[in-house]
Amino acid sequence: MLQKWKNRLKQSEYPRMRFLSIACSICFHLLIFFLIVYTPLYTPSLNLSQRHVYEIQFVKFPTKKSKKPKISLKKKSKLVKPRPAAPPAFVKNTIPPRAKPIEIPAKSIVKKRRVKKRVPRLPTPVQEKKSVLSRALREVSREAQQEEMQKRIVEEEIKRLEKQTTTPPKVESPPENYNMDIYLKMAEQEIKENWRYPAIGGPPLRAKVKIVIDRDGNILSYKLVKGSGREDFDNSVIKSIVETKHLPPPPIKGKKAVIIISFDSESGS
Amino acid sequence: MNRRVIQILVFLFCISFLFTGCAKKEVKVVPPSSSMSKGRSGVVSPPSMKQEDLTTKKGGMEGEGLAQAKVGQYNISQPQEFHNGTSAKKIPLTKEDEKILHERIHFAFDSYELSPKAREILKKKAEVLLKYPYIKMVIEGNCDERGTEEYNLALGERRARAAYEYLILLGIEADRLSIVSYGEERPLDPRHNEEAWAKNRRDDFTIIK
Amino acid sequence: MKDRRWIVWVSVFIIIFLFTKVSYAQQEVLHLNIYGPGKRQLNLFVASPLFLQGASKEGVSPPPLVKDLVMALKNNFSFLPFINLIKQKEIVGGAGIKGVRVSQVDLQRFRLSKVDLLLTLGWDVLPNGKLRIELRMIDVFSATLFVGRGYLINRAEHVYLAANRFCADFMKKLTGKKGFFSSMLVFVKRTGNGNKNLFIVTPQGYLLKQITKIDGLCLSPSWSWDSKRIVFTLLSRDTHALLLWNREDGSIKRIFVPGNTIISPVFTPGGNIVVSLDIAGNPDIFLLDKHFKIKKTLVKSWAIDISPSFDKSGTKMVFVSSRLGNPNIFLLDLKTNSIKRLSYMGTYNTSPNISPDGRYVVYSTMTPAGHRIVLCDTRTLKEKIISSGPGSDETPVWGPDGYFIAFCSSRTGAYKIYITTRYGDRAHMVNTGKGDATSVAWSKLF
Repeated sequence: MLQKWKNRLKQSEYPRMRFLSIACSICFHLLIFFLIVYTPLYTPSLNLSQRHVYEIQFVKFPTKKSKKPKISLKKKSKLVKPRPAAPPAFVKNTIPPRAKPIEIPAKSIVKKRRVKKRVPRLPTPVQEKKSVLSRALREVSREAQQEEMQKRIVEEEIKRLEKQTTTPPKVESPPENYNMDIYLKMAEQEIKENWRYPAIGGPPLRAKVKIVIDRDGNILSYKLVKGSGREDFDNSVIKSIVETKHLPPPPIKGKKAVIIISFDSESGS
Repeated sequence: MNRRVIQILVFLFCISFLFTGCAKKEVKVVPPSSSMSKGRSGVVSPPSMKQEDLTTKKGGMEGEGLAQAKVGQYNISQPQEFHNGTSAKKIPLTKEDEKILHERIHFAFDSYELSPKAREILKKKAEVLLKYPYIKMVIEGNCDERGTEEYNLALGERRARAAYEYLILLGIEADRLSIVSYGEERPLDPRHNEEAWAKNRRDDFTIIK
Repeated sequence: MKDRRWIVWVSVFIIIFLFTKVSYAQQEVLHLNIYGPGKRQLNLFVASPLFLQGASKEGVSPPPLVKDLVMALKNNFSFLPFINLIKQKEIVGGAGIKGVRVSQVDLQRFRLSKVDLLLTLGWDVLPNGKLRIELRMIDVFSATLFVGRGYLINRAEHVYLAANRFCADFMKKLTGKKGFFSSMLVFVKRTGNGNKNLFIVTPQGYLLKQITKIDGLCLSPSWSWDSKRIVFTLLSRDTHALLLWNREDGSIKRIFVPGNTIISPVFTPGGNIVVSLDIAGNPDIFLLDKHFKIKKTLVKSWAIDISPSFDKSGTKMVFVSSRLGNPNIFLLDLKTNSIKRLSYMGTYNTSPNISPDGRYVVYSTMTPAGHRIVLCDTRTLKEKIISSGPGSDETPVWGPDGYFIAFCSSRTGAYKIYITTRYGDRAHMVNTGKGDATSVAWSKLF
């Protein structure tokens, strides 16, 4: 019996090995296939609408070092000026609340004792003065602190500018994502302009539409991926895509791009 | 046997690739009506079409016909005459004293405090009232137009009451005086400037004999 | 040997497939979030009325009632800040339509002109002389009927009722609210001889009617929550009187209360009257029972306490008090009896009105330029001015949906009633005829 098995094994060893090796190879290729296809989808996608696109105005930096202290001096003088003016202005405004902007408050001296005294309106003059002075003190100290902070910010800014002027400016092409930011902002503007919906209170509604655009920005197709539950909201969202027939040409490498747009009825995140 | 198995396996794998490819195919642009799978087209007799006959009595604002809003009339009866005990001695009121009684007092904005001048006037009034015990007065409080109606009614009331209490302090009986507030409803001077407003912030005194 | 070749071919096949998948997978998937529509308005076009008998009687001009109905509908839509009326010249390819039903209209032109809603009107005269109207609000994009109604009318009054009913159903379907078209305003107007009397009108300016003919000054009217009665103050012959008008028979009844001064009577949701009386020497707020006797003192202090306003649960009341030296708005929680200050703007805040859900309060604040309407959130205490004047904007009141706000403004000289929303949308005037219209109050659903 055992001999039979041994013989069989000897016979089948090679085919079995072959089978195993092919199976392993297929598994290995499948693994690579899945890795290539699906890992890009699992990388976190940029929530680009949250990114702020900053407009930069290129300004010439002062080359002479002597100019820099001037900037700080200027700022200093600007900060110093309002200080002496503040306390008197502040005190002026703390007239008791009953004063009207149009009239002078009534000056009635209570000579006789009134029958029913029910008007404890104003605090006594001394109390009023104390509270006014303490408020003025707090105001002044707060302004002084703000001044300090502003001075520090200015100094740091100057240091940074100094650094920048010393290093030679690098000419580099802006990164891919930078263009995409702006592009998506532009796309958002175009689509938003055509999106009309009377969102006047009520529960927030959200819908998702997937669109495919080509290199020239033409919208080739759209599909409502997730509805909001309200047909008129979904219609309004699809209308905005249909009426925006083209977007500006996207900065992509491939022939097509897929954009998944989330529409939220509430503005302001 | 093994070869067969391998062939079948590989064939299955290839087929599976084909299927996944199909699923990722794009959706072409289609006209809206067919992409909306609800299936509602232009309905000939729409189900939401309702008919209402507004000519019948029922057809009004939700059954409560607006024609049912009828005009109401009301007349406030004359205030009852206050009956004094002694009606015998009725010294006729002199013109001067009448003038003193009618004299108005004025107030500062949003205030019901009596100014020294107001107190003087009220003192004189009290003296006159003590002379003619049969005379009763209505104190009418007024405001300028700047505030809101309801608050001005309240402020007018406080102004009238301030004069009322002062007169009582000076010895006039409470049942000889009554208060009413007209708020901003009866301005003396209808203009919209400081001068007019100062005139309108007042107490008026009406005599009841 | 054969096996190997076969396997080689298969693996090549697989590799080719992998490449195509890879190139597809690297197709960029971008994400974009859009918060809030670009326009919070839908474009609406009102088509010219069509004779329902069709082609046989083309060129038949519609009777005046039909024209009035079109005007009333357009007027109604002009009050809705979420509707933008499209003009005829903006329709690409002409605005004429051949039929009133969805299937009979060529919607493509309207789609191109970015019209979201199309209203068609069909009319017909029945043998008995009545006018039959068919109104269809069509959703242009999906080519479906959004709201369809038919009415039989023969009087001017019916035209306004039809316009309001249709717009109520339309607005309800679109936004869930319908109170604007199913409620009434009451206000005060001078009527000669120095008298002031009460008038009612719909918020769109229809069916204006005088409801009191009294010698004296009628002030501070307020609806009951079932819209059947109005309570108000009368100043006449040197006295204040508290009066009650009944809508069904027009009767007016006097309620005798102690004190000299009666200010700002209102109804609670439960149907009881709450009014400010000066029994204790200064105006305090009292609750009356069903027999109009004083049941409870709600607010009492040395200061002026007036102008109560209740939310629909009856547990929150806002009022004006001068306890801080000048008038401000306070919130009384009737369950806990606690009083909270709400107004922090300026130095003169009056005329509060709380929304039916109790969340927001509108009131009037005095600024150097005149009174302005302020919207205050009772939870966060955040305040915002929602009217712009010029002149003075006073007595703001909420509509039954907590969306529209009516107020009286002297921005054009005389005081008139205006409608805005809690978002401060452009104020639209309500036509109340000649003369000042003051002291407006808004009923709940009729």
